[in-house]
Amino acid sequence: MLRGHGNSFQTRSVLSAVFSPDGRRDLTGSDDGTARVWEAAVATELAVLRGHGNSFQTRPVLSAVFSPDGRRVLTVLGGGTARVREAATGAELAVLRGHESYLRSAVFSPDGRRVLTVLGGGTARVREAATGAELAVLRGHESYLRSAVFSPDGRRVLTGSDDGTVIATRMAVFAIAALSLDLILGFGALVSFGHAAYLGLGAYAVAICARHGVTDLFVQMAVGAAAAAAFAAASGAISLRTRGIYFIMITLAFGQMAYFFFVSLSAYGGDDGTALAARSTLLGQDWLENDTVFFYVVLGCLAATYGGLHRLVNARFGRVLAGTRESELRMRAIGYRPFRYRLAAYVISGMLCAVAGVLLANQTEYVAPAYMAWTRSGELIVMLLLGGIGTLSGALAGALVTVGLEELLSDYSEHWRLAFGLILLAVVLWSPAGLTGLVRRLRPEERP
Amino acid sequence: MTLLEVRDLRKSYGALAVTDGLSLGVAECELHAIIGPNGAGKTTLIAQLSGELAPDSGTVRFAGTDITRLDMASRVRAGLARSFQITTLMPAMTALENVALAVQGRSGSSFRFWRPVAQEAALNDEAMDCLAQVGLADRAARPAGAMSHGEKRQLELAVALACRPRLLLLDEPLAGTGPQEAEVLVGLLAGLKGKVTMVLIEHDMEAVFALADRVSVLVYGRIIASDAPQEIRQDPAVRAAYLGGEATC
Repeated sequence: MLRGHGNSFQTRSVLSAVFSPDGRRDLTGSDDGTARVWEAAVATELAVLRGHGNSFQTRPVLSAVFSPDGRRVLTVLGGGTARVREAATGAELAVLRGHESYLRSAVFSPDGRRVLTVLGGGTARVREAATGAELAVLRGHESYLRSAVFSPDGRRVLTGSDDGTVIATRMAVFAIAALSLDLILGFGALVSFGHAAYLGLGAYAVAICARHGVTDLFVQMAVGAAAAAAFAAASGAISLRTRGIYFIMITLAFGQMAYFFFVSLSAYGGDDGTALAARSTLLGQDWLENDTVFFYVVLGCLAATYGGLHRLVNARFGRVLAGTRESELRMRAIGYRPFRYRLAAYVISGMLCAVAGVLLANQTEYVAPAYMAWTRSGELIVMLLLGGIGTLSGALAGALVTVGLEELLSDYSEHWRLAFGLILLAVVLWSPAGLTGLVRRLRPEERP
Repeated sequence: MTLLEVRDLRKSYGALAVTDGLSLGVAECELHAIIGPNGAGKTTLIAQLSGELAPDSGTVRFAGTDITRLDMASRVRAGLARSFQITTLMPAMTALENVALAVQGRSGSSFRFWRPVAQEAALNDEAMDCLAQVGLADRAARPAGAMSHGEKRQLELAVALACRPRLLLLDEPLAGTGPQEAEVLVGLLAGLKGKVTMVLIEHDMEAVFALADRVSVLVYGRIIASDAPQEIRQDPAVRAAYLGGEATC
């Protein structure tokens, strides 16, 4: 075991770890700003590569790799620079600067003379390892570049990027989740801060079903929705007896319970989650492996969710739900018991969100407790705030714009959330009814 | 026949007995006014009659059945509806929707998820009748939140009527209204007399003595007198406790 990242107060995360080409040494990169070379067999620290960052801020070492001959080390910092160092001494050989965006990864060419870096902005660069001089810039990726590697002969480069279909699919998946939350938050005035739990339940339904040989998408949806219904009925029966801040806190607590349950589920990777062997099947066929087919299936689910909710909120049930939002006392005074309607809405909302979770797992082909983290619940609320709470079109617009901005802004900076926060602030301040409210205001002829 | 019978009702908050052994009988079809100085426990009484608040002891019988332990929704279904002193409506909904929601509450299940409720003619027709009854037919499409105060008071009445009550508990229906608005409301209540039994709590003595068949005087949580309006006016105990020996109103 390789220990020693950190001090007595705080243990730092090891962000990357690789073997040297000869297999005798280890290289680890940590968010304490150091990379360390270890002797693999006995875990003796051979060298500490420091000097990443300055006195004010330590930059995390996102990745660190050996050169093919094992004598040099290439480290990537959270920021825009990569460094080539001597593995034995840690001496800095070259600093690769001049990246206009943040670095995602960097690898050596097979001959060790060149370095290939991938940037957040969608470009990759080939540089000379000894001097850092730029040899080539690879542009023309229509979106989000994820990684790039050299071919074994070192003459070609393979890049992997998301394309428009993947982003559109993500938009549609999160639109379903946002619509489901809008039913309780927008139409029922129940601010749930644990809604991501249902996203996770749906995602884990895929992983658990697949592990047991059940790969059909609709069966997995049924399982996910059933699990979500059970969880929503049990947690809702308790949380719906409270209001306001207490309701927010109790739903948050239930969300965290679900999160930590799956963190402790070691058979499915615990904290790390588990990768799916393949996407779900439809009628026994692997059609969903095609991104375009998968997108249309997700779009169909979104259309069905939107249409179904549109009927629901305009039906008797929807009017009662809106009534409980407007005045609970008045509802009781005309003969209703609001609790049962709220619980029904809570269960329906959880089931729909689980369907989104099933689709999300298929989109990423990966399932982890992170899907149900409370920050994810917050993101769903932010989508509604941005789009406009209490209208279905608002939930839809909020999800599309949030996912779109995330893709767009993260191309420019790793600190894209700052810009997103400012945009959200502007929308909330100038148009409390969100983007759809803004659109309504800009079309005065539709005023009653 | 006595429609509502309250026997020895008690409710205390700590040492303060807000309802202190209150007994009351309301006959079918009468308009029974309950008057009393501020803090006499009028609104607390309405809350206990409507099921919003549970009494510490005592019984409430409605149409021969003990309803003391029933919740608000069950009492409404049994025929006991109320209006609120502080306007309690759905501000974002139209007047028609406010009333139709009350009609829906007693006609069929509300666990219907598909058919547009706005197109249910049975609900809308009955709601329109109720609106017409309180003179708001031409305001049906207006959001409740955008109505004048007097119109809101009329709408409160329409919503309560939409529950088709046998007994209507009216908690200061004239609260906050101007003289013209009050006149409209008094006219409406006069029109309802004989059609529905009413318990009226009101500070406007002119309205009370114009409308009531019977007046009960509530002081410190108990009824000190219950009689025809003209007798109440003359009752020395009432004059001492409440009317303060003033000349008749």
